[in-house]
Amino acid sequence: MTDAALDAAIPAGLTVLLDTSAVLAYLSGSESASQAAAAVIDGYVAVGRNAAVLSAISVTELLVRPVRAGSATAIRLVDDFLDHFPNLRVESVSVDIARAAARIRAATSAPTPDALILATAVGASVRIVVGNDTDWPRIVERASLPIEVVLLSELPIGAP
Amino acid sequence: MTDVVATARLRPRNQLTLPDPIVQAAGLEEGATFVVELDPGDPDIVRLRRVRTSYAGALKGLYEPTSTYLEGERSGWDPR
Repeated sequence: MTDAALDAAIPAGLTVLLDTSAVLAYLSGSESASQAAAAVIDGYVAVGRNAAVLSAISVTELLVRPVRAGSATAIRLVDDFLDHFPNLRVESVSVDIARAAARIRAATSAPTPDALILATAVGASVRIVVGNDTDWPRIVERASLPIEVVLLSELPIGAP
Repeated sequence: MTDVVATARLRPRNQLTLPDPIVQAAGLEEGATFVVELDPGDPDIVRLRRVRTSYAGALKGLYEPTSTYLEGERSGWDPR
């Protein structure tokens, strides 16, 4: 996919939900999806082309390893990213989102965290979810969610 | 390594100019953004922390392989 195709996949002005998988690839910087994640987060979100939403579930998932490692530096970096990265906000898991997640899980048997994150997108009226889980397009289709999943693995940014 | 220490005076309208030695030692450039922190219990210490403009690769080596890490975190929700 070219940069133009990425532009088309994530139209300017739309808010996107970043799954944990996208942020992990971004923070890692060394995986196959890292360049695509940076293209979205640094290239689109940081400059205000697209606002981004993160589920509170992702906050937990991002922080477990740094906390377990006892790395104050890593914890601070994650917290700084969550608290100060431009055009990025964290959505809490409300009762309405929990209810929507129950409906998604009931319809698809999606794992609870996946259902909560997708429900967060629906609750925030976000149409585009950026992630790296190849099961998600199927879950979205089966649950008839008004969401399009953009898979980083299908965005060969910088590929030869 | 020796700490870089310099003095700055707060001017009208709360303006503070970072001393050159600090700017040079930290490699700061115009437009840099900071988080300013204060513990009310220790008001003599005001912390100034630079906020990155990008976090790409900032935690290289911590989570990899990220898919395995995330799968492990999410499997923790499964019934035992």
